[in-house]
Amino acid sequence: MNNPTDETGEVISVQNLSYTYPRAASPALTGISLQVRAGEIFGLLGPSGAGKSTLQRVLTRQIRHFTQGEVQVLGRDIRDWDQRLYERVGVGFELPNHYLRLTGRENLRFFSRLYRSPTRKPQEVLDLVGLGEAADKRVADYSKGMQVRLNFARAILHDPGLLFLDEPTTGLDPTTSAALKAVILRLRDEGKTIILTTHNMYDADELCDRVGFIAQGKLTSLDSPQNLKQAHGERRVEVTLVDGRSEGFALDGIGENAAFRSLLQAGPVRSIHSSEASLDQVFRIVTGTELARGAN
Amino acid sequence: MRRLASMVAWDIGLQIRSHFYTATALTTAVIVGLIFLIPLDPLPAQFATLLVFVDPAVVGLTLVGAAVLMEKGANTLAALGVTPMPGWVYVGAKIISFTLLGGLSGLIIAVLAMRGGINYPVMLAALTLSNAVAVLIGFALVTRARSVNGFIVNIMLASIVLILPVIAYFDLAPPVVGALLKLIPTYAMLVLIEAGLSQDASPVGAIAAMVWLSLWTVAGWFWALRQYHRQLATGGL
Repeated sequence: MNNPTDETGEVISVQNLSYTYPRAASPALTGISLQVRAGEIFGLLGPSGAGKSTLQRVLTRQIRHFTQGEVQVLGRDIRDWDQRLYERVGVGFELPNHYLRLTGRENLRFFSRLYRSPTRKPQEVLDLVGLGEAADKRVADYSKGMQVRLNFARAILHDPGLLFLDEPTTGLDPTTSAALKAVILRLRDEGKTIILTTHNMYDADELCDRVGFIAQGKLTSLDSPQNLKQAHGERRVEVTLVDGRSEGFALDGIGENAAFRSLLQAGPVRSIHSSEASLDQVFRIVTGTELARGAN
Repeated sequence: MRRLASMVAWDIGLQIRSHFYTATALTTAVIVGLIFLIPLDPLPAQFATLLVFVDPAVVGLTLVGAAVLMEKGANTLAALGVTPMPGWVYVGAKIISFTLLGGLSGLIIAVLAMRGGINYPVMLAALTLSNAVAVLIGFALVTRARSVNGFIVNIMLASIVLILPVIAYFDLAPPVVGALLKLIPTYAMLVLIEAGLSQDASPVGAIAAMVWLSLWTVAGWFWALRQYHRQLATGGL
């Protein structure tokens, strides 16, 4: 099922959303407004506890009573949806949540019975996430990474047009992580809309068409990773020669910059680096927090 | 209905793998052993009633709680909450699967206790309604518990209240207290089970007990659905 949208082509529309958890002193979300377009990968980024998972829980109807604002999902107010929403929406959780006494295949067979719409064959989905050979192994005997992949497999079992993924590469080795990201990109190319919640900036940079940074419950920045990196970096390049000489140049008009051209001809070049910010740096700037190295 | 049937089948499969059937078979075997050790044939009806009553108490109150706690612990309830499965399918499957388990065990005990001489239609009604109400009470207790410890405390407190009608059942309570105790559904369970164990029980008492347990089942059903949506599927948010 591909991306069903409203007449504006938006799959999700959030206007001025605020939410406070019961008995909490301060709001978890304040005045969030954003739109997600059909067929894009949209990243919800921010430090732990910033509110991105809370926002995902509102968008997936796991939080049903929010304080203020309007939330439209697939062209309808989220409060007007019932369980049938999940025929069209897939949700991948960050932490594994399976029936541990069942095998991977049995878990998927069990969940596939809960849908009215046709579902993919469990073996096909397990193969897609590299669990084909472990299909008949008890989930209790899976590693954490395998359970995370099973989470992903379950989320795409019914071929949803809108997919929410929460830290989908947590606990995965680089090869498996790359394979899973390739699947996510393929789903986007098939026309699915994907909301990716993560604080892994490498994943976000690699996968997302647009990202929204959330800090302290507020949306602090929203744009494509490329635009954000350029906006928060310098339009300069740093040229370093093999003999150690190094010089920086403004990107604007660099083709006509005589000093730049002269340096390139002065000897073998070791490196040329642009000075655009990394998404890590953008993260620090727009959220006002330091990102833990290696954080997932 | 297809999803309900499917969910019941899966619940039974999970209960078998979680050794709930083994545990129930063991408690049933112990009770059956007790029946054959007591040198009375047939057993006095009220004593046999208490033996049959043990099953809904154990299976309904405890095992449904254990099953839901396992799902809470593994966080599978959150995964179920984002599927198109309506809440009534989840609650209905729990009631049907555990009623089957408790009912089957209770029937074995009843048949052996009375050497087969029971009123089968009434006994089936007694076991179905008693187990359904007990499962719903167990469900209520577990949805309100935040931890295993909390569930154990809830079960202990509830057991004290639910066992009190035994005093009224044996006519040991003062009239006013006895009348109040008879409102607790376990009294109707005892009356209906006793009617099922006898070929010549008063139909009035049995029908009144059936109606009372049916009302508890209906009320418990709606309450359980509300609890599923408020506490389990969304974690109370």
